Amino acid sequence: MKKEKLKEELKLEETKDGTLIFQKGEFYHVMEKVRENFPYLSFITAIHFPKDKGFEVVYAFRNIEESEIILLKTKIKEGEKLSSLYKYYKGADWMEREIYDLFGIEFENHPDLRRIVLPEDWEGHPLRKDYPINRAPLKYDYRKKPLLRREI
Amino acid sequence: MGINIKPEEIYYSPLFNKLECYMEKFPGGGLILTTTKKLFAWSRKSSLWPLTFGLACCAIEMMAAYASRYDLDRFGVITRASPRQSDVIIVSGTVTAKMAERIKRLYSQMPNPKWVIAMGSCAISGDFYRNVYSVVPGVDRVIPVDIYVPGCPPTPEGLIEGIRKLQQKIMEGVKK
Repeated sequence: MKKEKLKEELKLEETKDGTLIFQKGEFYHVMEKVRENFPYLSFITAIHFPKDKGFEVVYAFRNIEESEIILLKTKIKEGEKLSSLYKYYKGADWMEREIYDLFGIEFENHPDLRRIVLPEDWEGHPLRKDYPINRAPLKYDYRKKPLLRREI
Repeated sequence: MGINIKPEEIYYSPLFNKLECYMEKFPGGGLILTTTKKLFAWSRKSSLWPLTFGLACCAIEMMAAYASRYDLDRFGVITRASPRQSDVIIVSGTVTAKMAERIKRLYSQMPNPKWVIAMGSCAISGDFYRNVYSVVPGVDRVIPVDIYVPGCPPTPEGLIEGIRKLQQKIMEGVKK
């Protein structure tokens, strides 16, 4: 099992559900080893914890030959930057842009960090728990616009 | 050439009725005496070219309507891949704030006369995505809509009905 090997080699903690936890500081040290054993990046996602004012960023990797999946996660505080995975996985480009767009987490050394889903000048990050759900920012508020009618 | 006859007089004259028997008729009058407005409206409704444009799951039903089973070609509806060549835009799906700008641009690139069909509940009012932060509640906040086709999604028959209604509207829009 490559996961057990990685866990011993890097001395990582493991949660009950089998997710490995690593510290933000040793990012490149960990990811270099992961790249050797798991060549395919499945997805990156994040979870917002408004009470702790922090995020958990979750990475999922696959080894297709051995049909093995590994989950890694790290905790960061609001406003802190995380290193970019682009160096090891080119596919991380858009995934990190999406995280930046919807959560507002910035990635260092990313080649082109800008919004991917929402318009460039959108205010706020919608997947944060404290984002107002029932109201669009004023610039895009089409609710107050009158209906357009036309006669032939 | 010096003859002062109103068009109506010709239309109801016995001479015209005799001529009419030998002429191929256009809707609304004889070959010569139909108004240009009516003729243009007839030709416009007979070749409604929609923009190749789909947004969400309604687009699947729209594609089914174009394909061989329902065959919108029968009504002269042939999709064009450029807004410069199309007469009608079928907004088929949820309109987001980012897409709204693009729809507005596509609509303004289409030459006059142009029409809009809002297909499905999302394009009409936003439906249950109405209060989502990024969704426009109805495409008629962005561009003026001529025909609303309700349904979630509407069946191809529903869309065909909407197109027939638009054809009717184009013909009725001409003053008699």
